[in-house]
Amino acid sequence: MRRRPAVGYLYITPLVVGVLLFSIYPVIQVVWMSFHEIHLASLRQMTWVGLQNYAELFRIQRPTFSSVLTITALFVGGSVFFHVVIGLLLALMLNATWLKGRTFFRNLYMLPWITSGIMVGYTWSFLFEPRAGILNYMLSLLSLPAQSWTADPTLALPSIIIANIWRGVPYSLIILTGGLQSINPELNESAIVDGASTTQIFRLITFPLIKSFILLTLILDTGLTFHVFDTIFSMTAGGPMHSTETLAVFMYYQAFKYGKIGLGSSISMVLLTFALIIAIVYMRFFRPGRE
Amino acid sequence: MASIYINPSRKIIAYAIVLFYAVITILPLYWIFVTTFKSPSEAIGFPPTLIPQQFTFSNIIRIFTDSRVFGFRPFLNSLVISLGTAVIAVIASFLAGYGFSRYKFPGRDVLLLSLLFLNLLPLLSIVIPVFRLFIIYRLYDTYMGLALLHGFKTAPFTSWLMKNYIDTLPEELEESAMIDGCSPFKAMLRITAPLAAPGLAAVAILAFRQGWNDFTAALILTTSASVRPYTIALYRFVGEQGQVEWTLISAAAFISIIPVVISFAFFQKHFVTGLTGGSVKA
Repeated sequence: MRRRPAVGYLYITPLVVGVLLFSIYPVIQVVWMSFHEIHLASLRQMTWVGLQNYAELFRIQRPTFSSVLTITALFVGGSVFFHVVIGLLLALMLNATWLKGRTFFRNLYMLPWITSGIMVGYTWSFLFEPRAGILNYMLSLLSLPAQSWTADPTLALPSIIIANIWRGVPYSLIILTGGLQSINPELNESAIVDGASTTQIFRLITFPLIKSFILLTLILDTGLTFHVFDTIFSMTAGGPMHSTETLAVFMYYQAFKYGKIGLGSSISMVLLTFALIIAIVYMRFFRPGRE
Repeated sequence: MASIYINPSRKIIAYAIVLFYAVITILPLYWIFVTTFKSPSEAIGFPPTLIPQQFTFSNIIRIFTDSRVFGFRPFLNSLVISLGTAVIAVIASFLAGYGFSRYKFPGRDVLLLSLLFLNLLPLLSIVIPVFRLFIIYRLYDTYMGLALLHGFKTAPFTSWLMKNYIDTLPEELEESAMIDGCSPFKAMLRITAPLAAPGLAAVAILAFRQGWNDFTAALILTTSASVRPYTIALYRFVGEQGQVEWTLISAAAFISIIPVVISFAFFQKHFVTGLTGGSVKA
């Protein structure tokens, strides 16, 4: 390790300048902008309004801010819950050494995660399509009535959650697989020699050891799911009747459909604050930089 | 290792679960794949067909050639933006990774930690101020604007990745090159950069994917047909149609996943580490 600070700074300069311009400065701007009234048509003009944008959030009707928050919470909660449950189940199965084709399955499961969100959205739109979609065809095989899925106000939210579960399982699977691989296999073997059952091994050895990885998945996945925009926007665009309008979609409409850039910035602040909480919890408990 | 007896019925259950989820994963993608090669009437016909009855390439040809439908341009735009993103991320993170790995300077540890912190900053939460700044500074609706935004969105994490990678490369080689009269900068370029090539490839692919898969930033930051990527072209194409043509949408979606799947196949291990933001080592 060389101790010439000046040269070290020189090497990191491009990164630091780029990040300052394209991440840090926009963050400062969004805080500042959220206290102003700004219209899409005249972006240079900013009028100080104090906390009025935040107050307006609670006055908006159709959709109300509380319904947006509820929908976001349901979307995030539903997605993350199933990501972790399915991801854990698959990770446990793929951790069994006798299972053939483990690498093959693990790579196959990755596919939904490497494709784009909009592609996931259109793929599932097609599956959910009332007349040509295969989901209704499957229902008809079971003699169940056809559904209009994403066009039905009560089924639209579950539909986008299903698509998002499909997209995000690989993410939790990778983290949890990493967790399981960190367990010393001798622990399991000696437990088996001592006559422990599979359930006992899971409850007394595996679960306590991967608990922190489950927590890590919950934290990171919540952070990611909170600002999913592309999948929702391509499937339902927030509709029908605002039934799938999460914070991300709500922000887009207020800023770019109604042209209220200042109000949009205050919604960005909600997203930003949430991301900050996630980041702080992550740093506090996991500190990956420390080796 | 002691061989462990496992009840056959348990094995069957495990295989059933693993296969069942494999079907769930592959079925939607398979559906897009076969629809790409179906005729429009067959694609929405009843009952649905698992294999195209009249196999056709006309959807793919129409995607690339018919500019009223889609045209080649959106893919070209995506390619330029994604390559630009990759170049910016590779240069910035190689230099920064090298600096963090080889030099000690005040604030180094805090800066390293803040890279991971920045990685958790969602693009969506800053896209409104970026939109305003891009309009004011004339980066709106340009390749450069999107490439810079995505490049520096990726760079904090990939710099961290590069730092860890360069840590594993021996410093002695550079030192002996310097004793032979090489300047430190030349030693970095001639000795370390070639050794770091696999890491740099991973960085390039992660950055490329960030640009290639992006929809949100492009939706807000582009407007003209000469700049907007295929994700926006696809979105507009769906929006402009009264009757949705699933064969064309499937063809466009199918084409768009080919580059990422190929790069995943080649750089699977680094890709997996990168996709989790380095929270685990795959």
